[in-house]
Order: sequence, then C-alpha cells, then structure tokens
Amino acid sequence: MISVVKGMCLQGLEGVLINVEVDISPGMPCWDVVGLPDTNIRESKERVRTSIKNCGIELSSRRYIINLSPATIRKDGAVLDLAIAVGVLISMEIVKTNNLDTTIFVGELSLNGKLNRVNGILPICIEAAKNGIKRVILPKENTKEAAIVNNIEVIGVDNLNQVIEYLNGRLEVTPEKLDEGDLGLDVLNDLLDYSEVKGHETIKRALEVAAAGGHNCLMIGSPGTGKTMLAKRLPTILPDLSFEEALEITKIHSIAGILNKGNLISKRPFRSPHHTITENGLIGGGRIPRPGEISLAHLGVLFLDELLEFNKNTLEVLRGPLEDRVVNISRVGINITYPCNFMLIASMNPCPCGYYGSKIKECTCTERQRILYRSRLSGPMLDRFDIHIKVPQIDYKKMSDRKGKASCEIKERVNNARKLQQKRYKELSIYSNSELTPGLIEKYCVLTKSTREILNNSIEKLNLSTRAYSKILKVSRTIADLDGRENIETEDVLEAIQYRSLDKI
Amino acid sequence: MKYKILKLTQDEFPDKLKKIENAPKQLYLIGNKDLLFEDCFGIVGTRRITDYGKQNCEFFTRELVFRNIPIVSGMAIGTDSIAHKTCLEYSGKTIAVLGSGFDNVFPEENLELFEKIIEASGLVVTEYEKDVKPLKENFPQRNRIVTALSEGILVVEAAFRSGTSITVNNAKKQGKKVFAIPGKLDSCVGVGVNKMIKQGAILTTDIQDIISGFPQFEHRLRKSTKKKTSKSVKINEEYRKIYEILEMKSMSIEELLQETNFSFKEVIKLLTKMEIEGVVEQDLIGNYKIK
Repeated sequence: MISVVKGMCLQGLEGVLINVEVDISPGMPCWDVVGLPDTNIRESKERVRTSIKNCGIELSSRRYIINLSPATIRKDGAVLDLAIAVGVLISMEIVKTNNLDTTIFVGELSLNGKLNRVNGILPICIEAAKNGIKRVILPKENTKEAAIVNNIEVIGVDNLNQVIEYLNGRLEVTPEKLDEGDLGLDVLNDLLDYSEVKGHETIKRALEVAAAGGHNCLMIGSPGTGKTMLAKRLPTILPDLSFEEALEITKIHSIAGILNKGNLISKRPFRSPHHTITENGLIGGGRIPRPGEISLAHLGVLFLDELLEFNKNTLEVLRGPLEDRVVNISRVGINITYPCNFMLIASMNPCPCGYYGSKIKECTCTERQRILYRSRLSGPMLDRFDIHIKVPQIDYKKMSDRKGKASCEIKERVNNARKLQQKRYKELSIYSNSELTPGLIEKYCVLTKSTREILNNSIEKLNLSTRAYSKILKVSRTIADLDGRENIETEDVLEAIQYRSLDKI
Repeated sequence: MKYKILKLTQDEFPDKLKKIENAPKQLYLIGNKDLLFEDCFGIVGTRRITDYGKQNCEFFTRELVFRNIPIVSGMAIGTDSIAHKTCLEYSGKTIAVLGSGFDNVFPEENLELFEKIIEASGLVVTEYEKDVKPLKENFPQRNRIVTALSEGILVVEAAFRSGTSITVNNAKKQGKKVFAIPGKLDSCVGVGVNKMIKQGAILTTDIQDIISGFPQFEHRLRKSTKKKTSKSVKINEEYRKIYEILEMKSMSIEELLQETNFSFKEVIKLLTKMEIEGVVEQDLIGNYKIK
C-alpha cells in the first residue's frame, strides 16, 4: 500500500513542504530513499528501521521505497525521520488514519524510538501555517517554541509509540498553548546598566545617538579606557522589539539551534565574535549554509572588539551585507538569503601598542607604525561608520562620586526617537535614519540657509571628505529626533560634526 | 634632481670633514652649500621618540634657531624629523645627512621634508651615489658626518645600545662635545641617554648649558622669530573661558565639562565652532588643544 505523509525542510529561512511517499511491495528485500536526499537523510533509514523495530513492530522482508518530493530540492537534516517512520507505519497498516492532509511531522528519531528536538522549529511552523497546515506533530522539547505560532495545533510527543497511539485514537494529547500574556518571552534580568559607567558622558551620548538612529559606530581609545564596557551596555538602551521583529530574530536563532529553551527572544541580540572568526563564521556558510554572526545579530548589535585584529579579508566581506542588509550565500545546488540588518559597533586602539596619547603609559610606536596600523582599516570600511568616537582616559578618582545616567532614562529617549522615525518612514521600507539614501537625505534632512553655510564651511576648514557630508546630515537628523524636533538646528549639525573625527586625519 | 659633487681632494671640501678619520671620499650636495662652512649644531636621538622627548626636542631646536645656529640631523623618522621640522617652522636653516643616494630618499614619507629643507635654503648631504639603497650599514656611517659637521651634539632620547650611542662614540672620537637631556626613568628610551650622562655627556636642562660651551655661540643674540604658520587669532568672547582652560592643558570634552559649568550641548557647540575657526584641534585620542 502506498502512503503519503507531509514533512518540512528548511532552505535558509524558508520552509519547504515535503511529501514523503512510502510504498511497500513484494520483491527483493530492500530499503531505498529516493528524491535527492542528503547523507544524513540516507542515514535516517537506519534510524527509522531500528526505532520501528524497537517499538516492538516487526518489519517484514519486503521492498520499501521512500520518495521525497519535490525531488529537485536537496533535503538535509534529520527533521524528516518522523515523517518517514509514520509513512512506513501507514503503509504497513499499523497506523490507521486517513486524516493527514493538513498535518506535518517533524522530529529526529533515536534508535529506541525516542523523539529528539530539532533546530528551526519556529520557521517551520510559520511556513506550515502559511501553507494551510493545521496540525504539527513534533518532539515534546520543541513544543514551546512551536506554540508561539498562532492557528496551528501543536502536538508534542515523546516517542514513536505515542505517535502511533495518538494517530490511532487511543491516546489523547492536549495541544500546547501559550498562556495569554506569557508569550514565552525570554526574560533576562539586566545585570548591566550605564549608571555603572562613571564619567564618559560624551561617549554615552554618542552611543545614544547611534542607538536612536541605528548608526554604525567606531570607538577609538587606549586599552582600559572602557570601550568594551561601554559597548556591552548598548543593548540596555536599544529600542524595544515589536512582536514581528522578535519573531524574525527567533527564527534565525532557531535555525542556528541556539534558542534558549525555545522561548521567543525578547531582547535585541548582541553578538561579539572573537577576532579569529573566519569569513564563513561571520557572514554564514558551510556546505549547507548556516546563519553567520551577522545574521544572528539581525535587528541587534554586532560588536567587533579590537577591529584591526580581525583578518582584513574577513572585515571586507562585511561591506556588501552592511549596505544590502541581507546576505546571499551560494553553494553547490543551493542559494540562501539570510537577513542581516544589524548595527555595527567596533572598537580599536589608536596605535599598535595602544597607548598613543595616553596619560598613563608612553607610546612606543613610531609614526610609520601608527600610519600602517590605521591603514589596515580600508576607506570603504571606514565609510560605513556614521559615528566615530574617541574614548579618552578618565581620571577615576575624580569620577568616583559621580553617578552616571541610568540606561532606562536613555532608552526612553531612544524609543521616542525611533517612533518618530518609524512614523516618518512609514511609506518607505526603511526603519531608521541610518538607512537613508542620498535622495531621501535631501528630502528629510533639510537645513536652513545659515546652517548649511556653517556645514559647508566646516567641511572645507576641517578637511572633511565628501562622504562625511551625508553622514553628518543623517546623524544630525537623529540628534534632532532625540529632541523631538522636526527641524534640524545648527547645534545638531555642530554636534554631528564632532562624530566625524577620523575623517579629518 | 640636480646635485653637486665635492671631492675630498678639492680645496672647497670642508676642513671639518677632512680632519676626521675615515673621511668621506666625496660628498653629494643639494641646496645651500655655504652651510657646510658655518658653525652648526647636531640634534640626534631615537626614532621612537616619546611625547616628553618631542617637547624637549622642539624646545632646544627652537632656542638654537633663535640664535641663528643651523641644525644638523639625519632626516630619519622620530627625533631627526622633529628637529628638522621645528627648524623649518621657525625659518631656521638645517642640514640633513642621508644614509642613501638621492634617488632613494629614506624614509619615503620624508620626501616632502626633503624638498622643504632645500626650499628653505637648507642643505641635504650624502656620501653615497644617487642609486645607493638605504642599507642598514649606511646609517652608522652617516652618523660620523652628522657629528663632523656639528660643533657639538645634543642627544634627546636614546635606548641602550642604539644607533644614537654610535653617534655619541663618533662625536667623542672627533673631540666634539656631547650634550644630553635626562631621560625619563621608566621609559626604555630614557635608559641610554641617562647612561651617556653617567659616562660624561653634559647634563642639559637649559639652553644655556649648550650655549655657554661654545664661545662662537655665546655672543649670538636670541632673536625670537614667530612660528611661520601661526596666525594671530582674535579670540571670540564666547570662546574665552574654554580657550583659557585649554591654554593651560589640553583636555577631553569630559574634563572640560567638569572644569566649566557649561552643558554638554554648549561645550560641543563651542568646541566645534572653535575647531572650524582653527582655534583648537583634536588629537587622535580625543583631547582638544589650542592650535
């Protein structure tokens, strides 16, 4: 008897519905999987066969043909184990049901019949719901994550036996539901706060502007001045996530298999990869491409500490994704697009020894070394930072009695500024000032005549490059937004000019 | 580039170079030849100069220039470049002695300085033919010409057993006076110079220490010339407060906020305006200073 069961595979963020067809016929005993299966799907036949046997069901010596359609798509991963097993059981007439048109099976089998959790459940369920699937049967450990998706019945099961019993109507499983108000939000207590950073009010202000406009930001300073400390606290002032954004972030993390207990991610991600990271690790890759750090930082922050220690080529591959906000990864027979709309924060030292200009320690580098060191950051890369800040050494003795501004205070302003931007760019497909194109800058960053004169004058006097011009306009737009003003004033531009310090050299 | 050749056998060859042992067989010259016959003073030191050394180097160079004494150095990066540049800034005359031929000026980034020295009726000298590469062994050799051309030399900063110590040994052999500015105790480029002082270099803390050692310099009057680039800026009343604070010490916005009771917005507005007008400038780590 032939049976058809539905499963689902992931291609990047997209789920693809797979029909698992199983036919058992008399003939030479064999067990074949056809339809462009990848190695670990070929292996799944062994898992399926053994787990069925260990459920106490005897497999007869017949010809088992399993077809995965559409046959043109390369299928990967162990997610189809359960669908194949159920298909076989239906063909063997052990499972007797004909009501599976709107059900998908997802899960990996152990040899003893236990169901193991799989990655990427959230995007699978979202895609399934879109395709009119009403019910998903999956490993118990994955239920919480799946339940985030509305209008799909989530049936969590522990092992293959339970699936058989459930499908034959001998076992009741209550569909997993999320409590109202509890969206499975991954609530973490914030241990970090900007009030812990004494002094550095100027840097905090610059980061506030960066957070409000989504501007990429480069920090330069000697070791121990607090660059990393300041950057690590950035997530505490980032604007709140909307539900759609949270879903999008969780989808990517689900595919990468780094979701914490299957909860919806409620905080903007903050990724800080070590500088030994490879190109593939950063933008995503592998034979079957996985999301890289830039995609994991989607809608959040990618922090590159010690920017110039990163391999130069690794940094250069960031250029495209930073502009396009998506990354396209092509491998043999597969082409995947992951989103990567992130804010880049980087830190670097002013010279190889790190102490140029420091009051604490004498710099031992020659001028040539300093120039060589800085030239490691290419022009196009520098071009992608809207804000440059120099982090000076702070005299902590003087600062000890001062309490810094708290993060929540800053966050409120950032949130308000973002709301203004969202309202302004509602008709366009952009979210923040950092995404303004030259045409849009002209439209939305209007200066009065006198302000324009001051800006032109400063460009000339301070030897700023032409690219600095548009950056200054974008950043002044954000500064005005932080004050809730629709018009850009002279003081906004004057402040923005301060954030272009590296263009002067 | 047009250059002149001066052979050891020629009468015009300066006596002070003829006298030394291992005298150069010929000199290639570009620029003001007369400087070879003036009483000059050499300034030498490490390539890895610290801010402390830079300050001292600038100070002593300036004071020598004010007395119209030409400065001799080696046009390397660090101390040498600073000495040459300071000299030019105050319209002084300077001699650069190269360790390579004129086609291979080293380091390359000093090519501009090279041209400026000639423009300011200074002199560039080398004993090497124009296509000689800047070989490692040329530089200690070049140092003997630096000392020979100078009445005395001033060591700004030097590491232990460095190129500078070779220069100092040359100077001693040639019977030239060696002056040394005390180095910082905790700095690696302070070690060598302090050792030189222990071994007999003249401890120099004041320009008089140098001047009084040379009768030919003593009668020269100090005539301060204005810095070439400096313009007299009229300070806007608005900037007065910040200007006065920065005049004492360069500092970051953070520190300025503490020193004044301006708000962040005011300070940043004023500083940017002052920067645009060329009153202040920002260094690489974010401190503001008067230009």
